[in-house]
Amino acid sequence: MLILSFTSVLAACAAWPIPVDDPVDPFAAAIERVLAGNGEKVTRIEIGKTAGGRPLTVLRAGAKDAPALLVVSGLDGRLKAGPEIACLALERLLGKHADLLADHAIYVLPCLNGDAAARAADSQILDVGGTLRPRDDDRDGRTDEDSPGDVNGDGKIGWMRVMNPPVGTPLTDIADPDDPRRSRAADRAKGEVPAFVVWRESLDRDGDGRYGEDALGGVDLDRNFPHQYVERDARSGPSALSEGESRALVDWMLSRSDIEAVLVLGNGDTLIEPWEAGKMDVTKRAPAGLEKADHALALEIKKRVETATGWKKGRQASVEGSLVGYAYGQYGVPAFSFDVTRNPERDRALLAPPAEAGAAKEGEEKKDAAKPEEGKDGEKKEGGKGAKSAGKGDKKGGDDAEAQLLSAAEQEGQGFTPFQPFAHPTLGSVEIGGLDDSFALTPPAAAVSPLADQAVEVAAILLAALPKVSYGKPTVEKLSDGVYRVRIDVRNDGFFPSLTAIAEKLRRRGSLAFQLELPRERVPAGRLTQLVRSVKGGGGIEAVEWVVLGTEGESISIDVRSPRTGAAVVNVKLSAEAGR
Amino acid sequence: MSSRKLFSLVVSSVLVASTASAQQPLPSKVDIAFNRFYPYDEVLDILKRIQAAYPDLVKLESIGQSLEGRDLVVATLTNQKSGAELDKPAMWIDANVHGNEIQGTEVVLYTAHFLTRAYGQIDEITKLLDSKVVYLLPSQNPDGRTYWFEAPNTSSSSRSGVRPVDSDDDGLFDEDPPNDLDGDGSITMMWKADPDGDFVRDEEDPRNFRRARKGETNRYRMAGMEGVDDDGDGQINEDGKGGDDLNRNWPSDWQPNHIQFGAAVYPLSQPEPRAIAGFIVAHPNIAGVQSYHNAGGMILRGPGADYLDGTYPQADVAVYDELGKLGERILPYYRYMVIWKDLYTVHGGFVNWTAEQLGILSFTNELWNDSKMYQRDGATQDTDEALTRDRMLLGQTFKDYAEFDHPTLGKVLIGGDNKWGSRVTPAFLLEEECHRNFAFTMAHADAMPVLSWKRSEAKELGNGLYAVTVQIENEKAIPTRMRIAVDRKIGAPDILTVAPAGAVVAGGAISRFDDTSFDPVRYEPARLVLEDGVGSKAKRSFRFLVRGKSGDELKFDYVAEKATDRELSLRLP
Repeated sequence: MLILSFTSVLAACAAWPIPVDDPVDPFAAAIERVLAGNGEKVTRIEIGKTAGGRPLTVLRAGAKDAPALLVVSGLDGRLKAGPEIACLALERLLGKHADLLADHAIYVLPCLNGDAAARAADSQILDVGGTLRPRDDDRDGRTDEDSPGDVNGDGKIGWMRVMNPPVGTPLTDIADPDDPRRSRAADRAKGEVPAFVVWRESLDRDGDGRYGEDALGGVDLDRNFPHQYVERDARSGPSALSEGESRALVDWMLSRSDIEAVLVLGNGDTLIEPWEAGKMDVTKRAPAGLEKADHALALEIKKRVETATGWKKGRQASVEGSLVGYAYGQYGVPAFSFDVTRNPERDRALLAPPAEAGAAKEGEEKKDAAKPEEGKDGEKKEGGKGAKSAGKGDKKGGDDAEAQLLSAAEQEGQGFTPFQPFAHPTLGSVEIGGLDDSFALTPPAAAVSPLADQAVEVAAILLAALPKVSYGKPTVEKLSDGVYRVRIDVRNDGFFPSLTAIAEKLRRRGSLAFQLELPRERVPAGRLTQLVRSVKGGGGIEAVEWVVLGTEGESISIDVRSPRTGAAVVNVKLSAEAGR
Repeated sequence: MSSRKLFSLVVSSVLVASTASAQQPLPSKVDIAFNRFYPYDEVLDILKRIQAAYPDLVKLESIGQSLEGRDLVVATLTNQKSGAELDKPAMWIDANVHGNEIQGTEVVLYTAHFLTRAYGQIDEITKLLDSKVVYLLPSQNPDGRTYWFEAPNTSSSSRSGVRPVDSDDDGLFDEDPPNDLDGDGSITMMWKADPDGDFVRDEEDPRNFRRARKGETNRYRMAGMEGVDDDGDGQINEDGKGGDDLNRNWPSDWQPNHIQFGAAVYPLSQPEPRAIAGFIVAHPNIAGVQSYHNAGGMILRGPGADYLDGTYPQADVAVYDELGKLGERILPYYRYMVIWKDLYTVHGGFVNWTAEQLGILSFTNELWNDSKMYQRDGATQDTDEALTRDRMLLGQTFKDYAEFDHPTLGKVLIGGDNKWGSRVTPAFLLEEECHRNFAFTMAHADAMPVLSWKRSEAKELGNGLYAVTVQIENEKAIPTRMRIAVDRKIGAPDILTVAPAGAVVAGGAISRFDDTSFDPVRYEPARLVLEDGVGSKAKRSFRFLVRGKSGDELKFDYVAEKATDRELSLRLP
């Protein structure tokens, strides 16, 4: 029996490599590969640095001054597939959809949280994928001092079935008789006798009698954006955009006027599971999900994505404090989330031979996709999820997801560690095992490439849908001698409207302003400066019009100002023949 | 003596002493007039003079810069030789987040002036600066203040920050502000003669326009604030300077601009709130906040929105009520109010942030109430009172109407109240306004938690085991941890440690109602984590079972963010 002295265990724990000293971007190689392989077609923009000093690198491709799609990945360091999918997708998009990039552009930020991505490689201590900000989860005046970790030396951080917890902690769970890999609450009414409690694999490093209750800190960047931000939630951070990474991204986004849609490669989906319309948030003045008119757009994108990918069902991404929520709700553009976590059903279809994949698309009865662990709080609760099961929690998100993950683990021969006895230095006999966290959060390695292909298709759908706003040559109509009607049409040849419904409400993104350079007395009808705010997609037209007093052949000027089209002066000749 | 009586006496002693001294001017090394208002550069100069005169009491530091590069200067007032600044509870006082709401800055200057000259002269002030800290920020918005002083304005304009905002969405920024057409230094009103207008000039006082009665001629219509169509778009004054409300940019129930006008682009997006937030977060000793605005005569607390009603726990409301009602007595014609319920909805307000996110007892005083002009309730601003006011101010705040040939409106009358005509405390009443508000903040500061050991005893139980009991008291109204901080897990919990830790066998709190037993913590008995802290005018008792021998020394250390830490040494009998 392995018995470690308490002191030696603490000494070992102290060596756990919590700090991240090397500021090299863990995805630097992938970024360099994209740049090296595409010559001048891809350019690099640095928009800031992480708290650990890693560059926040954006890659840009496509036409100059064209409407652009922004793709962001790597908000959560544990979602390891995202940055690679982002880089692969950009490379393939350049080859497969070069035509789209002739009059559109794409920005790709492969990894917003390089610090966490670097840290995630270390399996000795539980990581929650957040920023470097420390936290005092157990409210004892110390931060990050009692993280779950690899106690039994198997290279993984699993779950402990603790048969002899400290005095005062009641036993609660049993191994599920139907599937002993799972733990569930004992049903005392049926005579079941609880045999253990389930905790994260941990020591009591701070000697407070609690195990793994103050893990490595961090703010979840995907809860740190200001739209429907949840206050006083440790995972959200002390305030919206408290983290340098999220703030740098928002500052950069706000500095640009060409970003017309956002795609987040992250934790959950809104492409085929769009948020609802019709419900308002607590202020009663902003939608809890989508504005009704925007919901119709989202349903059309859903249809196109389903056709292109064969997806039928996903796990909806959260709106609260998320980047995709902000991009829609406050930045005001169409925004979607592409799920880069493990989705056993989707991943199986991706990896199946074509015939089988086709059958899957037809749709047998499907269960929900796997729901990954939600983060630090959930994990830190004594007896969290992982290998727990029936009788607790929400069936839709917990049990079915776990069943799918266990099934996938069985098929792949990885991802689940059978519970094995271990002599814990302070808890005595325990069993350690369970589902690996990273298994739920990471699709099979072989699925990364096909997922990148699907990301290419999604990006292409969104690029093709971007608003394409232009104004035509002014037309002149002679109404009478010395009296002319001058008109300019503004046209949108994209699918998305020039302003979403939420953007109109926000009044944040710029209009097209047309200012007639004539004295007021020569313009009997029509304001000198007229604005065109929103133009519907699909060839929608809005017009500005003036009645002008002038002489035949006279040239007049119109100043045009817009963040979209830039500033210009348009000259038009007052003439019966002009512009008709 | 009940603790309530004790509090009242302490507060009374502060007020009595201050009032008495105000009647017999205290000597001062710096002369400052409080019957006038100061542009921002003069404000900083006054603070520098005070600091130079009282270097042991005053420290000045720039905590950041405004958008236009003006230093945001915080004055730290405390006896720098009587303990570490961060170990003393601190009162934060600021002003002028809205650039036009100017007189709070003079109250802040008055506070610095009074505290420095009263130190060593008035016992309560000496005690306060020996044991506490006062942080003073004279202006949250020096750019707005400067623009208000330097440019033509109304009493309500130059409220915002100065980041250019395209208010009319025409691609141009701040291109059509009001214009001082008559060159009097203020923006007043324009009236246009119009046979279909709804107003006539009041025959009793032609400076007033009143609604026309049936059949009356010589009618006018209001033509807006003084200005022209600078950008030629057919509108007047529709895109003036700035637009961000720096008191809607704080990360507490922040909402975007379409819900909260002036919110700016995200919480703490603007340099001024960002710098101030950085300072306040770095000073967890701040236990009281006052932020001066104008006008209306209000002592306001949060929350700012109806759906946040109930955010303030009852225990906290009791302390707010106690201080707020005291404020009503100190400040005639002021009323103690709740922002959303009694004023209007505010999302992302400064005191909402300090109260609801940082757990600090916070007030906003809206300085000046017209009733103060007439020294009676119910000012109506009717003609009689306007005339009375003009008699008192000798017409200094009114510009007589005069004809002006407007480029697009034709002949108009321009005139009315100038920018000093409302909201700003009349200069001859300023010092009183300063002193009363200063006195209120001193009562607020006096209510910050002060801890003291009340009981310490050790009883031998036999076999080298002792029961050691200690009791700590907060004699003040503000608890070491506001209930909202406890509920929302804000800040650090109080911690009571015993050394040597190895001697402690068990430890925990004693119930108020049963002194014969205690509730032992299971782990770390020599380090009690006290999320609840010590309440308002409350005592807490703790007992430890300690193994030792006669003469052994035990050291207790009570650490609280918002109170001075207390140590206690006790020898086993």
